[in-house]
Amino acid sequence: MIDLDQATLQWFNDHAAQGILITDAQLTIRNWNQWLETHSGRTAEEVIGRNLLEAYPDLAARRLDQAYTRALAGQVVVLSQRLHHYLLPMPPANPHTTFTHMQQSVRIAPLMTDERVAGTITVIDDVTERVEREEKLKHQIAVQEALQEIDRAILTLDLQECLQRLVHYTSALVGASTVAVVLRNNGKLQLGAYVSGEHRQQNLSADAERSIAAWAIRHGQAILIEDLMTIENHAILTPLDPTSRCAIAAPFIVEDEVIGALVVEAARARAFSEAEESLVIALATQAAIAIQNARLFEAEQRRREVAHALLEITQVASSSLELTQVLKHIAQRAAAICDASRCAIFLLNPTGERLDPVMAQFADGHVDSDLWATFKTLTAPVDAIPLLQKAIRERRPALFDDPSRTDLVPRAWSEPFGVQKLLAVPLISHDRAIGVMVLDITKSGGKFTPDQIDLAVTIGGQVAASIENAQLYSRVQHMAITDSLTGLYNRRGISELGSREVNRAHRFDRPLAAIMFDLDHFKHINDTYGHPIGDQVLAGLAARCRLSLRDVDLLGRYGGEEFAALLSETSLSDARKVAERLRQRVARAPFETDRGSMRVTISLGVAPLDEHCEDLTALLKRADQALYAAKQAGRNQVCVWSP
Amino acid sequence: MVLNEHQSDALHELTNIAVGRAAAALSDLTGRHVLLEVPHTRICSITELPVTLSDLMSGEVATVHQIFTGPVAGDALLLLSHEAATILTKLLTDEPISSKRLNVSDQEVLIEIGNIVLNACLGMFGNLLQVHISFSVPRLHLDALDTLLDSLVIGTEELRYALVVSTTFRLQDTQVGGHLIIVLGVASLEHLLSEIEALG
Repeated sequence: MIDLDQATLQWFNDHAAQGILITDAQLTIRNWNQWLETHSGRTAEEVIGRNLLEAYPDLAARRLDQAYTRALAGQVVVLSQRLHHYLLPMPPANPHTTFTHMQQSVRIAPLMTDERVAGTITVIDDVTERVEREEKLKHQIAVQEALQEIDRAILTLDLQECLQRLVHYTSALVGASTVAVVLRNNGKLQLGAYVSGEHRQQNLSADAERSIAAWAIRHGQAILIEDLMTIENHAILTPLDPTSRCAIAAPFIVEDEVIGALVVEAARARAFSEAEESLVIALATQAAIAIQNARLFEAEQRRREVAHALLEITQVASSSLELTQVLKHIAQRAAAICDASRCAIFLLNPTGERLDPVMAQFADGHVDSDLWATFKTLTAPVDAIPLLQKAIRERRPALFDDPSRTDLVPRAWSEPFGVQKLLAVPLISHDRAIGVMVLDITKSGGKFTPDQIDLAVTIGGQVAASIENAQLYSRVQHMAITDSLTGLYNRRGISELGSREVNRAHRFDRPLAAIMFDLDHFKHINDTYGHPIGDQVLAGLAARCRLSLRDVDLLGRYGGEEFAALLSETSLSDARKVAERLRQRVARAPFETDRGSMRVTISLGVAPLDEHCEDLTALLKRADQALYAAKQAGRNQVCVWSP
Repeated sequence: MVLNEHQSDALHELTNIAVGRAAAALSDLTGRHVLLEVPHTRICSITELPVTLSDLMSGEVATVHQIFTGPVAGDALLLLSHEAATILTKLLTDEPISSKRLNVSDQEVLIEIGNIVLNACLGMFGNLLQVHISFSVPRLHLDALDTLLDSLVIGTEELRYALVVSTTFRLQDTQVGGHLIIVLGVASLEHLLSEIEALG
């Protein structure tokens, strides 16, 4: 029997703010204070004298009888709330708590008499409110951490990563079995990210438009459905996971536009309340900013890529590369930045009746001879490919998006490659269609967005400009006035510059003479040693003659082995001396070639400009007649024109 | 005081058995497989304790402290670094380890764990000496190491010794180190050692 101080016990019983339970060594309850009466609903009269483990069989079931065994062995025992929740089952003091039992923190100590354990004393603290505060704080910290994580995701600016983190944190914070991000893209609902305990799905079901996500997106407000089974119009609010009973959806709103929704679902009815709803709304608000930022960033990045590609195309287009190289480069870049599979370029022939393929490239730049082989055969009258004709006639992009319309695009083109979409952009230069650029998509599901079509038109303009430039350049090349073999003026150079000399001589009544000369037996050299040797002789001859003339004199290769020189401010007799000097210098020394030294001679005709000689052509004709005479007279000599 | 080899081995073996029981009790309590190992046991005088401990740990520590009285009397402590205390508590209660703070409920868990470990060790010694030892209610101190050591060194005039048992908690692929420190008067310690020697 325990001997307890009556006054102390009285105080425990009446005033202690804790439960105080005293047993003897047999665990018979000896004291049960007022606090315990109040909270357990059992009076002292009911329990005193009963065995604790019999009065509370729950203790043994939860193996808490061991705590008393230890106490009876002399140990002080601590039972923490976290590990045991409670010792004696009692309702919580505050009925509005989330706990079914009062949460308790307990110490059990042996009561000693003469160094023997005579009984136990148990002190029970009600820690329900404290634990609730702690849980709330922990939850708030977790929410803050999640929001910070989403903020961090905003900084990383990868949309997919943002969404993955969002569903991950939402799932952890709300305790949902299913969390999904549904995004609205061009009016259609798409699944952005999804986590689920059991079901993994990649796509929204067909009736996504009737889902709770669609409702939140349409109404622009959050919705909480505590039990999907009890709502009247079940059909208009389907969960994403058919087994869900409870769901919340909160819209992502950016600048008054609803861009999607965050959906959480649980299998248990009433799993969520307003607390979870406001949390989901907070997460959705944060996420909307992240999604918008990520989208803006992606769009900005895309713009930069496009700007960069266009700059590159412009640089290539204005470079000195030959047209084929330019078009090859542009075609590949165009296909790549428009997300097309391939790009081909057709040019209209000068009469505008036929389209000739000039280039075909894959987006990744790989070379495939089959591709070009196919395109090469596509040379056709314009009206044979109606899609291209349409683009050229209407001067705007024409889109082919139905592979079965073989009447629009030849089978030879669409079928071997499985073309799904095709975009034809007319190439317009100086208000005139000069050809068409064609982009196609061979993978199913691909499509051209309005942005890509705009981009293709811009690139088409660049292609047209390049072609225009290249054609202009080749015209200049064609008109060029120098002869590439000899470095002298060519016939065109002689004509243009010589005409100016003739006009000037006439205008100022100044003397001007022309010499035409020709390599003797040049055909023989070519036939015997080949054209390359002939060319070497011509080049050597040109160089030697150039050195024999003044800088002001015009010297040119008039054609073949025939040369012409215009000597300004020179009388006929002086011109005759110059011609004789040329003849001697050529004949005196041989020319070095790859086939050894070669001795050659020239025949020359000299003619003066006079009032009867109207233009350069007439002057050169006179010199040519004199040259003919020199040839006739036996070659290697100078003849002067005579009327 | 220096232990001879025989005393040292016997002491090491005894503490191993004691923490083994504590580990079993912890596993039972938390439903997780907990192992406790004693890699090292040493004895030093109380004046040397600060140096010994500062070699072992530093900074913020969490200590579960129980005073025991009876024929053998002294202080028993489970000393954990604050980080180790946090990890151990979270692992044993399934709480996420993100927060470095120990709230009151976490602290209670730590007290319960400490109490189990300390009781197992002291209970063993009590049985060995066949004396009854009374325990105070365990308390948790969250202090800097220095403050704790001061409170142990200041006090009685009797020459006191500390039995320092380094322990390693192993659970869920994680190791958490801690130290059991039992501070005894020289008389109690000699008593204990002679009993330990008698075992062999």
